[in-house]
Amino acid sequence: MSPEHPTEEEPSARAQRLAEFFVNTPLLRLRIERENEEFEFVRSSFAPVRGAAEQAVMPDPVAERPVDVLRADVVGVLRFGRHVPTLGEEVAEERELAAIEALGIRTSVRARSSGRLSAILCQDGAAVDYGRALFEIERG
Amino acid sequence: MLRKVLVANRGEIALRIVRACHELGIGSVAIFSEADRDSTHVRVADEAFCVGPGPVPRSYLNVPNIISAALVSGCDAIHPGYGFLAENARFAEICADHGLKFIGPRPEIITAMGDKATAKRVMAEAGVATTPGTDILATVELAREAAESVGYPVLLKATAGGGGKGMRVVERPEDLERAFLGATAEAEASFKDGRVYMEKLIRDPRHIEVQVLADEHGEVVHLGERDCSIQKPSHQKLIEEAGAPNLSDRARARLHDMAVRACRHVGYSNAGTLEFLSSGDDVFFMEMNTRIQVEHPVTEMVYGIDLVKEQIRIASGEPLGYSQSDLEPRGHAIECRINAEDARNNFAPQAGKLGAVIFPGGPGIRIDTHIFSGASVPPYYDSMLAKVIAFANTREQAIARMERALRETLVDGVATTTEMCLEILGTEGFRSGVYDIGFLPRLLAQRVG
Repeated sequence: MSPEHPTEEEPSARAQRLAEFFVNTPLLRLRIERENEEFEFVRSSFAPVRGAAEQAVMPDPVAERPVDVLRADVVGVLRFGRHVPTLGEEVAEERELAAIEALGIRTSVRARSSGRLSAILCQDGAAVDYGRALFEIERG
Repeated sequence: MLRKVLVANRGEIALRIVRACHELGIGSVAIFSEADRDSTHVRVADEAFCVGPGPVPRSYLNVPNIISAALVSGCDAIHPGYGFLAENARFAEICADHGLKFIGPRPEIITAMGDKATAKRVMAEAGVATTPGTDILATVELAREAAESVGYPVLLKATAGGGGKGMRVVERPEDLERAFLGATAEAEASFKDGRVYMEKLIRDPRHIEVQVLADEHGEVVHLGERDCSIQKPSHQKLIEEAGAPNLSDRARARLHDMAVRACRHVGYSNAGTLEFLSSGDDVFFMEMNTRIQVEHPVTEMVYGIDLVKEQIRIASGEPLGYSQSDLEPRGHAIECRINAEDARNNFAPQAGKLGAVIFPGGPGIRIDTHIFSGASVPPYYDSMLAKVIAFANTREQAIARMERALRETLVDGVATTTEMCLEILGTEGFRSGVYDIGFLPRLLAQRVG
């Protein structure tokens, strides 16, 4: 699936080219890992889910730094904790950013790695469905 | 009236239910898997929630996510459509536990009718003719005694069964033990319930079913019968028609009467279908489907009643508002199922991206479908792409109209059953209306031969 590219290409040009490749695929997410670099592309728009909260911050569609996208794996209501996540803040691995409440059960949404919180994609109290992107973390 | 309905299904039936909600002026919430993100029912519903990845157990059978989607979107009811959770009594109970109205009968009725041996017993109590047979048979010895009493040939059937699984025809006593062990093992593997019972084998019967509607105040009506005898070797229906051709007035009246009597006896509510085997003037109850059927449009066409809207009205607690004498069928309707299947290769299911899709139109043609040019056919689900329904004043005219419509139909990109349906419509057997459930298997065998 990965497109071939010449080794002498600048990283930014390579990212641009990969992004163009990605937008022409039906993929929701594409991650490429090479020896010294990683690219991850995530489609930021989903089929319209009316009734769910609108996206709070649009992510940069082309990310040159490795980005973790945290997604909902259950359908429910997103609840921020006492420590409300703030755009740009540094988060530690395993930090609970929010939880999804569904049928009286609370499912934690935790950072998979430490880094900078680069996007908050859903608001507190929003109805979220399976696979919905919630947060992006630029791994640091 | 209910305010907002979550449609716990996909494909054409999800779209069909969303349309009914729109026409009733009530809200609709679709669910979808990641594989169905671009499906028409998602686009047309007022709201839509992804409930899981493509495989059915993780999406369309994901009860927690489906219930949660209904609750967070403020629904007060769930319509299960057909298949998936439609005849799952536990799901109906869970809906009730969360204050959601399940659009269908009460859970205990689903349970009773879902167990074929119990359903047969209940129907016999109601005076409905059932195939001569037995209750659950615990051992081979009991099965042997029963077969002597019923008379060979006999049919061993799984009580939890469906789709021919756990079913064996036994022609001779010496074959009984092997058939019994095979049926119980297959039933256990397929349904986690190895119990089997026995019926007298009715040779070359017709499959005739009766549509019923019952409100929650005790009113029950039937909406005539459908002949669903054109079935693939796997017993899946391919062509259905309303009413049944070449059925005597006596047999027709008996069928209708038994269906209504059975519903009254069990206290049924909402839409349902009683399936019968028919041989000559004899009719025997086979099973009851406690949901809307795939082939419901042919009944809608001849009775002028929107069955899905009626289901929602009934679930809202409204009385039917009409009685049997108000219902009069008019004309004839035929449905052909356009499946993504290779009819020349044992109806092997097809998946992939569709090319051009063009459906017919014109007088008397109705198309129930969710597909469009460029749509994807995911590998996870039932292969039905569309239902082409032809309605006319007479059966002859309906056949001619259906043939015209199928010739206009274009679905590029996958093999479909369109040509197979056309071939069936052109046979003398179908045109004469004298056919049984062995018709299509015999036609296929002749072609191979």
